[in-house]
Amino acid sequence: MTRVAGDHERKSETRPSAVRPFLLTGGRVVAATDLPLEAQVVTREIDGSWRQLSFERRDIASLCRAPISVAEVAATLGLQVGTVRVLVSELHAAGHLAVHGASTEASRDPQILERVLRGLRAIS
Amino acid sequence: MSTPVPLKIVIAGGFGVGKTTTVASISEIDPLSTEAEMTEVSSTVDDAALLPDKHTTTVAMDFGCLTIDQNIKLYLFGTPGQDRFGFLWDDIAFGAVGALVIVDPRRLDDCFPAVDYFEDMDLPFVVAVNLFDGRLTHGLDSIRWALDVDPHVPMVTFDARDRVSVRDALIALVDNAIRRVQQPVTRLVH
Ligand SMILES: Nc1nc2c(ncn2[C@@H]2O[C@H](COP(=O)(O)OP(=O)(O)O)[C@@H](O)[C@H]2O)c(=O)[nH]1
Ligand SMILES: [Mg+2]
Repeated sequence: MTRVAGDHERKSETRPSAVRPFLLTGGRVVAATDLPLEAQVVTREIDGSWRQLSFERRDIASLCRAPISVAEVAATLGLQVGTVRVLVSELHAAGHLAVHGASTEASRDPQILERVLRGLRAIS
Repeated sequence: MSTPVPLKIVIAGGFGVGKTTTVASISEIDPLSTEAEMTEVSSTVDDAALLPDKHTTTVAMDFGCLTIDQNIKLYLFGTPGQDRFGFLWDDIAFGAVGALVIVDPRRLDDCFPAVDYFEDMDLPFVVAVNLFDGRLTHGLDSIRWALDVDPHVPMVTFDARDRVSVRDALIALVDNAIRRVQQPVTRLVH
């Protein structure tokens, strides 16, 4: 499976305390099959034009006003993951949504993993 | 609102080993379930038509999530039990931090597909023995021997119903993932 490569990661802006979400799409069309289950989908509220969408498309845009994963969109709206991937990539192409993921390097980055450890240790 | 960075851990193992229970114990949201559509090609080929018998099934997969800090969200995805849903496993495992392979000590064989899968993928994993009845009749060493997992793969016992116990199993996994980045395992080729 191919994924959008890591060339859009804005490393220079990365401070140790703030991991930046990785813009999966970088202005390009993102193929439905390249959307990870955990990718964060956010509605772009620039002109509220998503309100003119209908049915599932509008439901997705409405739900994603706060960032939420592809998998959560599917589960919340009772849609199949494949359907959500197609609709999200279409809505992204139309400019209604932004999609963020973790770069493939994030899950191999010791600094990020140390933060995950700290977060887990804080659970009681 | 800033968008969090989503990381994920795979919760794998055979049917009924406690995957859903594990996710439910630690997830901040009620575990969600979603369906993925699969096209299955059955192994029996219709001789007359010479066409594989293709049909579509849906598989449920469940997941939950945890807020790690202001920037990082950790998703836990349970694999569907059966190893024939390999496609979905790839989908779940791609880019994951690692996997927790849950084992029911009374049915060790059930975890072989998961152990093989993550070994082949070279994804960090921890074998987490779910102590259904609170004790282990054979020690962890004998389970390691029976499963034939590499010495670098950590093994822990845990209770899938207990949040802190699930947390500790996840810590063992992330710890191992960090060690693997810092000193990659060199495999012996026989
Ligand atoms: N006594 C006990 N029961 C458990 C434990 N973990 C899971 N179960 C039960 O075992 C059954 C299967 O667990 P489930 O999480 O659904 O397994 P899955 O198929 O791997 O998702 C359920 O009835 C659980 O309540 C455990 O640690 N102790
Ligand atoms: Mg289950």
